[in-house]
Amino acid sequence: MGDLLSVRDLAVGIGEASPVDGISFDIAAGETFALLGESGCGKSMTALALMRLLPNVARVQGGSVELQGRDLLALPEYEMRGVRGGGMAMIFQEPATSLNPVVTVGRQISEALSLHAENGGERALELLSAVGIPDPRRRLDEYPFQLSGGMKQRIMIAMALAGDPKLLIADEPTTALDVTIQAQVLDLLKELQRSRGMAILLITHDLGVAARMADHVGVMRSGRLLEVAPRGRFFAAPAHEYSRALFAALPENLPKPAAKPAPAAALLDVQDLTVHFPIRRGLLQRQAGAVRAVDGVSLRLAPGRTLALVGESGCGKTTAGKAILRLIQPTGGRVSLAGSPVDDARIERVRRTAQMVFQDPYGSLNPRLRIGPIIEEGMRALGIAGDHAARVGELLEQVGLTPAMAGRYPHEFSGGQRQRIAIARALAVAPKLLILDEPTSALDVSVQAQILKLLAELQRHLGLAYLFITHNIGVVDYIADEVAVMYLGRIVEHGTTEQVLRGARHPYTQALLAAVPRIDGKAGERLLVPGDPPSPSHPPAGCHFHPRCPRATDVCRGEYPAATEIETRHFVHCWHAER
Amino acid sequence: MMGFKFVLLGSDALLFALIAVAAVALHWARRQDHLRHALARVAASGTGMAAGTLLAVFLLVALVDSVHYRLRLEGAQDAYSVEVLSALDAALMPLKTHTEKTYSAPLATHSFAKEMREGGEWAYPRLKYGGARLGDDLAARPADVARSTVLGLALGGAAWTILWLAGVPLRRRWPKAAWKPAFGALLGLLLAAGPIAALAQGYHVFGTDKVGQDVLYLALKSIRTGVMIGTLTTLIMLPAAVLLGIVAGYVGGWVDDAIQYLYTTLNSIPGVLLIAAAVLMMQVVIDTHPDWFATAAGRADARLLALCAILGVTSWTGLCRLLRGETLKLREMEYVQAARAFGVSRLSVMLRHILPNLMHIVLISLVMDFSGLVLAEAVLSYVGIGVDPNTISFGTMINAARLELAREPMVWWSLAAAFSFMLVLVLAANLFADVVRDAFDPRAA
Amino acid sequence: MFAYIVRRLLYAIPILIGVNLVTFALFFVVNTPDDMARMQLGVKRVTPEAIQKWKAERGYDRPLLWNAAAPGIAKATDTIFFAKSVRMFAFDFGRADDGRDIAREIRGRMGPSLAVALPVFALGLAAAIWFALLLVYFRGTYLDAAGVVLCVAMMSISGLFYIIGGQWLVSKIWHLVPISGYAPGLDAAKFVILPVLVSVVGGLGSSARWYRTIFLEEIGKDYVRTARAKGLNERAVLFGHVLRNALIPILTGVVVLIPTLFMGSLVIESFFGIPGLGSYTIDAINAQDFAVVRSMVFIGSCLYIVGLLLTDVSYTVVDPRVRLG
Repeated sequence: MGDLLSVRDLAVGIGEASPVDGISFDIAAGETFALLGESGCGKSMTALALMRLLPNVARVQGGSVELQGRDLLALPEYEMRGVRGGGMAMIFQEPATSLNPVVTVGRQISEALSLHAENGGERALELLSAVGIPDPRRRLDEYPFQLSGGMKQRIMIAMALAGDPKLLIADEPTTALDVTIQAQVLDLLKELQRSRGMAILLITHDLGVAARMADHVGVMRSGRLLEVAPRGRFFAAPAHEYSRALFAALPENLPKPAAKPAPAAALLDVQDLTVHFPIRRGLLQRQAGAVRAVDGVSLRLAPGRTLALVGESGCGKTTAGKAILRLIQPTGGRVSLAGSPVDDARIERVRRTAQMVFQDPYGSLNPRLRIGPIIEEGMRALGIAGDHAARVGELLEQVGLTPAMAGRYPHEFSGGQRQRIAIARALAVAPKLLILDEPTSALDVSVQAQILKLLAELQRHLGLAYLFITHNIGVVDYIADEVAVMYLGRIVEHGTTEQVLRGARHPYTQALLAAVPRIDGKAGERLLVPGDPPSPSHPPAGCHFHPRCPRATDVCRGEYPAATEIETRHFVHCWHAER
Repeated sequence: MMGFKFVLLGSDALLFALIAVAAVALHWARRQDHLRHALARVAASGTGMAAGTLLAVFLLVALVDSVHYRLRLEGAQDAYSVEVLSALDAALMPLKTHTEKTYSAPLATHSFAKEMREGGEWAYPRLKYGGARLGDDLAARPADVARSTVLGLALGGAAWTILWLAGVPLRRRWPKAAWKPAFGALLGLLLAAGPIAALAQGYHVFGTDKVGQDVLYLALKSIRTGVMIGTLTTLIMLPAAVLLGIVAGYVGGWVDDAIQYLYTTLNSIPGVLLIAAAVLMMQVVIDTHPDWFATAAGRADARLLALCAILGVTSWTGLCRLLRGETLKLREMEYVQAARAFGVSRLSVMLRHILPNLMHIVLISLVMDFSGLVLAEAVLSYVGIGVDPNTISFGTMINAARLELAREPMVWWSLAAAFSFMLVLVLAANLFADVVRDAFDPRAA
Repeated sequence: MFAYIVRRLLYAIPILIGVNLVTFALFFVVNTPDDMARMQLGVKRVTPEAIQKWKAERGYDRPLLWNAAAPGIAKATDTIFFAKSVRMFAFDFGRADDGRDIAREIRGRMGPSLAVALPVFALGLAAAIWFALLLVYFRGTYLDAAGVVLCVAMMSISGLFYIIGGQWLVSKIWHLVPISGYAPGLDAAKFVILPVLVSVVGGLGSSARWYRTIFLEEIGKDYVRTARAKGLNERAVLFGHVLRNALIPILTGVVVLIPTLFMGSLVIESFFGIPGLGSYTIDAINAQDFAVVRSMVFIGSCLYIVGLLLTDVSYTVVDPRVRLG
């Protein structure tokens, strides 16, 4: 067999548990093998076991790992060090923490070079150019904190390439990155693989990423490999029941919820909302500028309908959501709820009308309180009369839990159950509007599907309106009636889901949609935007998107474009929208 | 029968209050899920249970030593001795009153220093109490010591057996706790204490100091001072540190500025100097108002409390800053934001959401500070800004004995006794603190 | 950076005023000068005349805050507060209660204090880091476990016993160095060795254990895994990556102490007869010389504030992420 890597019956144990329970697979030279699975399935542990970098508590309990015919598990540690970075290299999920914060980028790369190659200095520059870092000579002397997340992941890749590895293990390499940056990094990996004939073991939870990258796909659950298949066959006809369940749980494959009420008078009306955080400098701490987190956002949402606020990290979507509820003090603009303006004097009515569900199911429940008091808190604070205990039981049933759970503590629940509890807490004061801040982005795709279904069902029963803040386009398609796309504190495109997702006119929206990896593996019309989003403290003059926009002209550099109405209620802020 | 009346010194009252609060807190903690788990982790730790047992014995000694009373003067109806005694003094009565003239070595029958006899010759005088039961039969001493030791070991073993049997329901109630190390430590302690107690009936087990006081008695009395300083100091500073730390972190703005200013200012004064200045000043106050105190013990107690308060002020800032920092982090937690979205009041957020998530830090720092404070007392008393010179403490013992190693021949027993008692106390405290920290720190769990 | 330092120095002013008020309250409000005079004179010689004389000699016979009897500006300046507290801002410490000039004493005693404190600081830091690194290198083995137990045992022994034991063993049994005393110039070395050694050993347990925790925390971080994935050996990981990051909390934690080294160590100096500021302070405490204690409090606070500033500056030196603005 010409296999580069051959894994047989690999098993890893932590105490009594077996996170990797006897898995076998092969990777041929130059191909990409995607190890696919949900969190806790043992896929990262497998990667670490291959590198022999397991945490202290974990032990390899059996099996063999052969790289080019050498049994890695039998090598003494000092020879294994030659394999790491030489025969195979690894990049990790969190570029932000995976680089040494106090050592320059150049030194971190040349350190790897000095171990595995000669003439470090020039090679470091070459590597930086190879991974597409602009102005590489200057970057060598910079520290990781001076680079964006995408840049850091490119540096990690450059470091991994230093020893000219035959196999690159990429552990969720783009999970921490925004979708447009993810597209850049995935393209880079493909390009490098082609030019160097390098094999890639790609660890991912994302079917789309696997479809875009892999030659072979292996599906893992509870430490076992359930199915290994070539990409084409896997995506056309997944053999294992669990694989099929994964496909079925994708938002685009969920049955669409029933028709929503037609747009009526606005429940939520936001006009020119701004949130500027001051930047203070100098001797007297004068205000030297501002971070324009939210810079003039207007939204309308009718009862019973869902508006998705879409954007990449740092675009201000979460800040906007919190500013509507006055969890962050807005610096300008008007918000009115159910016809009456939101201000500090009428804040109590706002809190009965609108509530929020947060992103992190682990940070949003006080670990020291039982579920009952957590759900009851809003009713008590707002002085809502009635039998609170009975209402808690009712709410728990409504979100698919049992009333008996009220006596338990948050740590006894899984992430999905916690998110249900957080929804029950918000519903306790019978609001008309829920602001959902990335409610499913911390969850596995199968759990996400359950939460999305629950949300749709609650909306139908209770007539709730949702302001759904997310970066996940697939979820938007499932749940939203209307979509607003945010970039650098402003809304660049706004319309119905159909209009925006299938008739996008703003180049940023188009790039965003094109960057989403699709499970049919088709790239579609590729519109790769280069670079990173600029800082909201120094937005570019003119149209904020022009430095990254392929269609930018002089007029874009001069002035911010006003709204253009393409069709009824489909607005675009772009000088070239008519094209 | 001799009459007596109880005397409740300020520090006694605080110590009893502290024990009561701790008991209530423990009872409450057992009903809180996460605290019960943390307590179970402490109980399951061998080191924790062994060190905890030793600490409990020390605490018991301190408690017994905190039951104070005054004897009625003989023949008087309503006049009491100015000397304040404690229950421990009563238990150790022979040791307390059996003072020799000056130094004598452990288990000695003769004084350490020669003395002029009537005949004009220099000789080591016989001790008044040490080995007195031997009479003139000095050759019988080794046999007597051996007999007492064996008797003591037997007594210690018997006492342990009784305790072990008495512990059966405890072990049945909490079968998962590490009882073996706990009873092991207890066995070791009793096997050491038994012979000491038996020998102390006839000898000065650790010798006598310069003025002839029994060193064993001094060492036992020092325990209370150490425990008082170690516990009351933290207790005094705790409410202020918790309140100001949380308020500064959660409310922010000018309140935060003011609290930060307060603790930076207090922190910028070198600790020892602030203590020195404050203790000197308190001493002046105490000395210029002799009428405030009925007894010398009351005066010494006032100084002890003042020292605790001042130590509290100097160590307060660290905890306050720590809590402020943690509160700043907790304030951004999503469950706090969720509470704000319901309009839950600030006070309620601080009480329900911030404070319970900080309690482990408070508890850990309380336990961690104990050993440091016991050590600090020794240094401060040595420097002369610690407890009252008449209060028996490790510091005053060491201070009195500091030059004894330079004598020829050397007098080592006072220092050795202070050293061993302190080492066992502080080591047990440090080991226990480690276990508590590991058990209560959510990051470790 | 410059603006930051200026702002911090300006912030030091209210703190020093606060310190001054605290000491003023402690020394003159809790107790009146009359109380102090009575203490100093002793029970036998207390007469109203003697108290008046004692106060007049030392300038304590003025009103506390406001001298209504004095003319013009002297209403505010001819007071105890101004004479004894405000003038300290100009580093005018006046005279000790025994009549000697405090500023001159301080200048003369700084040298001996530093001769002990500086080596203690440098050697203590180096020894603790070295020991902690050793334990971390062998982490998870019996050597590490034994080392931690040793640290806990060492930190459970009172510093006084290190001094007493060190003096007894090194000076009395081995006769290696004098038991105490001091000589200026190079002769100081033989007097300084023992106190330095004792202090370093005495402080080793707690600092080494603390640094070990910091190192272990760093070792768990992602970038260490990256370094290993490059194929670096354990030593290179420890020295090239972990040490650099762990030094940030360690160094910035101890920088605040550097200025206060001038103050010397109370206990060490008094045990070893070093004529530094520590023993000066302790003598003043024992003689209840309030003027000296007050001055030392003020100087100590100034040095602490300088230390805080140095801490902030040191962050910018060791951590590229920190920029003061």
